[in-house]
Amino acid sequence: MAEKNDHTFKWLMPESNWQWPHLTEVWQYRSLCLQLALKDFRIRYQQSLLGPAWAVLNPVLSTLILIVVFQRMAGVAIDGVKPYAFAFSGMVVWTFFASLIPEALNGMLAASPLFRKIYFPKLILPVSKMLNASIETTVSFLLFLMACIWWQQDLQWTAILHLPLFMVMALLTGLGLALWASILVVLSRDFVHGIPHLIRLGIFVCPIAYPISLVPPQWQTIYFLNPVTGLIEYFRWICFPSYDFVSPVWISLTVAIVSSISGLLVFTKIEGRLNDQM
Amino acid sequence: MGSTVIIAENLTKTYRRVKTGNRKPSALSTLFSKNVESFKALDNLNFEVRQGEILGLIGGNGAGKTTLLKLMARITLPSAGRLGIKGRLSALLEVGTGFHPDLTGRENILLNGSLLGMSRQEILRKMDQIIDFSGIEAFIDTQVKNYSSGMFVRLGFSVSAHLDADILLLDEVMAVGDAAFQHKSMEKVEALVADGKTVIVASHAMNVLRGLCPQTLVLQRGCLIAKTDTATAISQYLDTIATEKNYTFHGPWASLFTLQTIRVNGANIEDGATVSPLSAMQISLSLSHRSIEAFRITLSLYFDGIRCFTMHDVPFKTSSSAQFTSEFVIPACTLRPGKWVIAVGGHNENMSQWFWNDQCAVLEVEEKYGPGLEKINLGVINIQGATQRIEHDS
Repeated sequence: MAEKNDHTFKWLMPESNWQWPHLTEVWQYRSLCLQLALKDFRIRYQQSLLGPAWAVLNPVLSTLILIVVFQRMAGVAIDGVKPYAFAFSGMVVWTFFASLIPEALNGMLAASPLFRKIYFPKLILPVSKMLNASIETTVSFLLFLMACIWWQQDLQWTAILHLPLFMVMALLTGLGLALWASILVVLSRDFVHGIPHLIRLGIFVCPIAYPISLVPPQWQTIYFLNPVTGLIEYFRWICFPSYDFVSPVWISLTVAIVSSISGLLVFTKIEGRLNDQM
Repeated sequence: MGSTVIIAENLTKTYRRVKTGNRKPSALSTLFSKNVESFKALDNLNFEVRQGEILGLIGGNGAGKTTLLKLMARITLPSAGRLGIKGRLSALLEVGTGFHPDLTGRENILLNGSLLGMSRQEILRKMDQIIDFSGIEAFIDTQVKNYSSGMFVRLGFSVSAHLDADILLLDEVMAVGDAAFQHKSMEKVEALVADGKTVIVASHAMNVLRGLCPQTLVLQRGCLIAKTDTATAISQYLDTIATEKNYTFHGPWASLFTLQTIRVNGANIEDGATVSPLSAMQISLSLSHRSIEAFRITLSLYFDGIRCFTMHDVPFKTSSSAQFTSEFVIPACTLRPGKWVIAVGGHNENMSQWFWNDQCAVLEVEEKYGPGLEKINLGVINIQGATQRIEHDS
């Protein structure tokens, strides 16, 4: 007879209350994360003539559209930032979330037949989507740098030291939002229809094409609750030497930390039940 | 026998269901709705499996075999009690799970392998072995959507079988691929067993269980009724089917057809009367239905998990009355004595719609021999074909 609390055994028990995800197990499955990201990459560009070239073409095209639109608007320079560069910098940050969240949501739905047949840590799903979105955003960021040089926009090269902190914040926020999107879609399919509208709204709610000074002061506290706002502002402050940093960054940081921690806890809580429900 | 590798303690699994009719409820409504019914798929199971053991798992439809396998494979969590697993476990419950049709065979090996928990290095190291075992080298860089179903299954089995697991769960997978591949799969399982791996085989192919497993677990309606030697387990299993009237169908037409009674020579089969093999037997199935399409009713008889023969009631025909009886006559001196399992189903003309239950009832044929059925004509079925000897003068 084995010991009651023999640790060589993996004990499967009814789901307990709040639990931290088994991060060591997620780490053991890291190759799955890579394979899922690779799968998405391969499938996305399959049966297209240009293939993976689209990974670069996509951000180029969306930037071109942005430029065409903003040339007409011919705004004045904001804090010494040229209007195109201003909008493009917002788009770089926005791209990450706009591609991550719908992907995380659909990834959860697409993988649901698997839940009934095979065990794997479900946390891998949103994480692999983050990998994909990060690659896409990196391409977009490199294009942004090239465009800034082309536009002769002043860049603050020393602030590059802030980039790692910015990336950690963006990844945390992304994880939190992706997890909550996955959780909501598991709870009810209504969110499959609802969330894309929120994303579409996001392009107006985030300061991508307009400066924060246009937002009425009494609304600004609520406005800053959107974690993406703080990230966009922070990113601009990193890139442009003359840019004035208005958003209180601690709000974004708090939202990022709270959403990712709560997301991890709730996700782990419902993970064991996924098979019985989806 | 080695140390214990699987322990089940008061293992219970309860499923909750919202009574909403056809609409699939969302998780939210399951949480908050009062209109929830629950049923116990597994009820208070206690057993242990030791390292190197090859354990069979048998039970009628809905006995909880699949739920138990799912719990062991961590696909679902227990509702009460607990289950301890020592070592890496590989479940061959549905091979080729997670294969993506748009990826090539090789890409799918990487994806499926990592889904099973293998590291990239491990898969790359075993890649050649996996491809070699599957026997589809020529198509390995072809997209899986162009594979035949046989090729698909072979590749899936091959990946799963190469996972270095300590415990292997098999669910009727022995029936995959062609005969040669089945033989190869069986050999692979035997090699794993020789390696000291623990294997659990869920099947109602009694011949497979008898050949592989010294011991078998018998489940009936969620309860573990025995863990005993396979011969005893099989007879207990047949008793559970014989006494329990479980006529539920599965398949796309399952909800359109209801089987009410099975009568043999006029008597209800659950009464357990034995029938004589020396006279013709009439099996009558009373069904009600709601099908507007033409269909026919299928009757199959299994012996020892082998489907020995199949009969159909009529050529395809629509039935205007909701209630009908299909009659099948098995000629005298055809079935040899023993316990035959009756399977009932039906299908439409192109087989796209069907319903099926392969463990409806047990037909017990009396141990009786006579003219036309000689004891010495060994086998499962007795055939009265003409025989003769022709003398050739030299």
